[in-house]
Amino acid sequence: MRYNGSRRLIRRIIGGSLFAITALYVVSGFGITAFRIITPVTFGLLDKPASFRIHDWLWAPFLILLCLHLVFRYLAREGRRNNEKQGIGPVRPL
Amino acid sequence: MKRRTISILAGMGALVVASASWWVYSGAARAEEAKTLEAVEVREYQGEKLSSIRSFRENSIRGPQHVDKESYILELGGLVKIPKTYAYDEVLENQHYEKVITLNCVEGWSVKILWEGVLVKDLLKEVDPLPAATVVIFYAHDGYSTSLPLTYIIDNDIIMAHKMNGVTLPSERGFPFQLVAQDKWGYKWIKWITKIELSDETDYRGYWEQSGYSHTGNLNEGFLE
Repeated sequence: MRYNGSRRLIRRIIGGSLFAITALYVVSGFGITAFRIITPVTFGLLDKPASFRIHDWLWAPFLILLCLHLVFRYLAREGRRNNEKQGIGPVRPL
Repeated sequence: MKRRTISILAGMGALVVASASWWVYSGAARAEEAKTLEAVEVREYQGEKLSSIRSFRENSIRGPQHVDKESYILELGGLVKIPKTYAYDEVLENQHYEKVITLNCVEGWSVKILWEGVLVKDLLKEVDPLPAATVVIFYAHDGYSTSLPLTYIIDNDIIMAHKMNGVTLPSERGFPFQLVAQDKWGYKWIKWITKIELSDETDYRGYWEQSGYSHTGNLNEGFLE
């Protein structure tokens, strides 16, 4: 039970981080191509050079988090299938 | 009966004269119009395929600028013996040169264009730079600026283009003049040039350089510092 709970927590952290990084990845992309809008909207925080830096830096964590997200999702599905085979019945998804 | 015939003939004559006048006038107007038509864009030059002038992406700091040709003034000053100002046509009195150069933008796109313009060093000769001058700072109509070493401008025969692919620079592409800063990232290719200043301030940083773009802007180096 504790094992399932911690896995669920990890999945949530990964999912949340992936969402945040994806959002930042998209916004920094717009910070490059539509800097005349993004720079004033972010009060100068995300200007074009900063957007380039963030965009360049984010691809690695984005890829890692995406892989982790897929792996954990796969593991959760396999776990559910095993439980169903053993007749435990539908369990709450992780 | 005779008077009636004369009236009809006079009327027909007037009609013929009016039609002829209109035809001559409209023809002249058409000829006048034809004179002002712009050349068709060249897409191939000496066997090299060129990009279209519509292949550029608009990424200037304040959007396209519209500079009036009649009131345009190019200032040349700073560390020079004879500061000067030029009207658009006066700049074009210098020898014209053509070059096929590719502009590489930091955003990842590039365009190969036939540029035509005047040598910056020809303009600089006329103002007689002082020995202390080592840097050329370019200013644009929209407040943009950038700098390049004087030696780079002279040694590489850098031109200030007024035509691209045989067509006068459109407003959105930098009319009246765009710098053709070969071997440099696109942000060094300043458009809408209004002022050229000679300076000894080797560390002068232009608009994007102040925000972290490379001071040198060399294509063979990264554009972020």
